[in-house]
Amino acid sequence: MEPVIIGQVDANMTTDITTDEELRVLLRVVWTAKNNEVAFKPAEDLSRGDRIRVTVEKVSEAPRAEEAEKTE
Amino acid sequence: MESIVKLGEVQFEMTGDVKTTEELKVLLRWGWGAEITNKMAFNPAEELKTGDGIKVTIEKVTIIPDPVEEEVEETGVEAEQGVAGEAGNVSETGEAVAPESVEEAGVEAKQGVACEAGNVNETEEAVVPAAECECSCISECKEETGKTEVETAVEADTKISTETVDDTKAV
Repeated sequence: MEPVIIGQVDANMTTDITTDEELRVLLRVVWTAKNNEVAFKPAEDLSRGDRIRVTVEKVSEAPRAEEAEKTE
Repeated sequence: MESIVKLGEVQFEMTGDVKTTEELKVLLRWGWGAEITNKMAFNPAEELKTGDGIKVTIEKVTIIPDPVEEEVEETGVEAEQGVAGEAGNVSETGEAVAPESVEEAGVEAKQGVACEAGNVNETEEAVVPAAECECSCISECKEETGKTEVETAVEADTKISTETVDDTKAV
């Protein structure tokens, strides 16, 4: 399937981060986590006040139950 | 104008469902779980289900001022200054600027601004012979009276001498 943009948000950094530090991405609804945290190292140093843009896309759909049964 | 630098990209599968009416928060965490940005939340454009593949792209956005806009702003300021200068008849170098309107020109001519050293040519008494006039007002004066200052002066002298003769006769 073609990637679908689910949402895009901008934010400002509240702390400094260097490229050797690991950041983790988490999606949450209220206090419930909706994914397992995934880590990455930023390509550039970040400073407090820097503007960050996060784009969330759906790149694949979960196989339906019927299709899953057929596969089995 | 924005400069966008890609900082990173992660992919994962959803472990829970999210409806479009729910507010989905995105957290960037460091160390034990400290959040490194202010709040990022949105309502998803589509419903998300467990097992959906998700890609999250993180970018750094830098706003670069547009050089064209800057030039326009500077030009605008200069234009405003130029208008002010015209209103005061003073150029940027401080030199007097010739008035554009006819009315202004007329006022200045009456005040003798256009002709230096009091060479106002509206009345005969005020006219000074062209030989003494160092300014370039001769042609302008001729345009108004149809005569040069020399001709006007000669006429005036002749008139005065005639009157003197008449007075003598009367005596």
